[in-house]
Amino acid sequence: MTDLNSPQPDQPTSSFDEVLPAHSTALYREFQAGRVIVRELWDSNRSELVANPLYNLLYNHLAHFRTFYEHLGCELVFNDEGAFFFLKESSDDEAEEHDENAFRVQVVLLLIGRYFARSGRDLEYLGRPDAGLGEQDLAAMGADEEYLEILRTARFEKGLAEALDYLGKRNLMFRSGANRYFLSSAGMHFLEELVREYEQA
Amino acid sequence: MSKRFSTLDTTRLLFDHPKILFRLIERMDRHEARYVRESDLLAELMDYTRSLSGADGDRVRLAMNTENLFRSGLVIDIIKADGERRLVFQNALINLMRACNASLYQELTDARLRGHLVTLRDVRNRLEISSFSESDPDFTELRDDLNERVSQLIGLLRQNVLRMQTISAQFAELSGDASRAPEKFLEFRQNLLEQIVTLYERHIKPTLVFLNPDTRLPDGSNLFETLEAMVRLLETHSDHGLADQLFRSSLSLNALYKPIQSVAHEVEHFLRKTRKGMVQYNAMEHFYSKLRELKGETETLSLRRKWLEGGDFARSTGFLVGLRAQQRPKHYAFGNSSSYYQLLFSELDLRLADLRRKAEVPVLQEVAGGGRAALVDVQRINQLYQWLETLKLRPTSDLVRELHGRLEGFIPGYRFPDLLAALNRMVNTPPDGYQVVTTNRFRTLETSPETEKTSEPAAEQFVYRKRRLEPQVESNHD
Repeated sequence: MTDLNSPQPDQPTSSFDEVLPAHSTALYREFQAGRVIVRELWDSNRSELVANPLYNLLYNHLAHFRTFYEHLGCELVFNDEGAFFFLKESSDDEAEEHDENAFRVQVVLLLIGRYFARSGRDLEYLGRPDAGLGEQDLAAMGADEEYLEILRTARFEKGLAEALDYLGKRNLMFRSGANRYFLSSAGMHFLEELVREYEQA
Repeated sequence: MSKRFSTLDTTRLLFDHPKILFRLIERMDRHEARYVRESDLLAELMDYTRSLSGADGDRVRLAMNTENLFRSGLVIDIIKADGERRLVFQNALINLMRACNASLYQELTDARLRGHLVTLRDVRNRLEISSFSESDPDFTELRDDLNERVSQLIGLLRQNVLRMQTISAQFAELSGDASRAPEKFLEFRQNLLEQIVTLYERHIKPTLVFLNPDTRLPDGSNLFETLEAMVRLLETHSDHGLADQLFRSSLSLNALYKPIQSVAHEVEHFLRKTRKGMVQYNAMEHFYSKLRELKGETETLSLRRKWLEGGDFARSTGFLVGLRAQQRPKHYAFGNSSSYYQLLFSELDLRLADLRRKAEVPVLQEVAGGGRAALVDVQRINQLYQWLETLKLRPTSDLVRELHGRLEGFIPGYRFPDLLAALNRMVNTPPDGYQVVTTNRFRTLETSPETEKTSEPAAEQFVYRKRRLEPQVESNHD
């Protein structure tokens, strides 16, 4: 017992020593809540994107957290282009439910992307705080029967507001003002990936 | 083939079967020729009359016979060159045909417009040295010429405006083709952009410049200046009729500027759509159609297929696969600290005490209801107060919620107004050894679904200020 507890001078320092438990806990909570850790978060008080300290923490101790979450039976996935991390649950059991959350996120993002592209705008603007979706867009999307139908069958019974909330809670979308939303780097990444896939196909 | 038709009948037949000439004019425009090859005419004729019944077919074939067309004056010349016979149709007939089909309009080019302007200037110059005398045939001819030129110009421009206005429909059609056949996108885009750029640069922009009254031309006056000069000339020579007519013409020309300008904006906007934008558009449509398919599957007769089955879709894109579910709010928080157990047991004690007094539970139900008498109200409140007298409480940070929890579902007929009354009493005469502290924080209570179903038609909300129940500071009571 004493051997285990007393520090050995010649023992290599553990990677756990480099991360504060409080920080790691905060990170774990985020992942537990099904959130994606993005590089920049929207600060609604300052109305600007600010660096996400948790992202930096993960980035700086990537190897540590990879191993750490591996031991917890999850996979820490890092996406360089979209600048985000997320925790992938093991897919052994309940494969159906396993994809459910991903699918619902994808459905909402795709609906937004499709609506935006149809309105003749460059998708790039969806990811800009000064552009994004405005009140009129929300009204137009909310009035589209087909979109609502799809949302309903994707278990968003309360419609668009619920769907946007779903994205917001996961850091895939930020609310930049009353009835104004824009996509985070992670949300944008999905649409960009779709475009790329389409181009290569 | 001895039978002939009169000019009127031939023309009538041509317009009864306009497709033949439409196609010929199209071909003419494509080759930028002013004639139709006889062989083309015959080929079109054979092709077209195949679908017609005997007598009709014969009639059309007879009417479109080169000989007949020439005799009736609809073909004004037959040229023999390069071993083929070329027919030159009467210009009026061709123009009339063009008027019947918007796609056959010849777009106005810069050169053409300039031609018109130069003739108008020429007319003006001749007008300056003209006699303005009705008896002078030079002047009357010049006047007729002027009228014809101006009406020609207006007609030409108007046709083109109509044609340009259909352009957005064309865009939609073209981009629709592209999204339906994504594999041909590159080729399509090339063609489309070429077409549009030509249209914009060669036709729309020159027309706009031509019709802009503020345009300065290096070689002389612009359209409106020319027209105005003529109007002034005519006025000074007291030819007011013609002057007015010309002025009205210039007004209609001016009015044509706006619609062309809006078309120009539209085209410009379309051109600004980069390749990127179109790829994005098509990509979104592509994946959206997959989603639509999934949705279609839920619309089958099977009652169990209520939700989209997106497993394959999600895995195919791979984005965020395996993302955790959002935690549902927990109803009961379990802990293992001593304070947690203390709280749990004290709550259990209190609830047990409530249950032991079950026999004394006031039945408020009977007095509940709409138009109650004041006396009933008093009774009701009194009953509640008696219950509260003996109700045991523990220190809590939210007295209102605590009271609500103890009364709701326990006392039959309980409603929010009762809570208000109970609270009123608690604040004025707190239980022994306790004090009620009113904070400035607001909270909301909602009726739970069960009570909602049985007694309340709609969900009620109770907004209250949070009140703490604390042991009195002076006393040692816990």
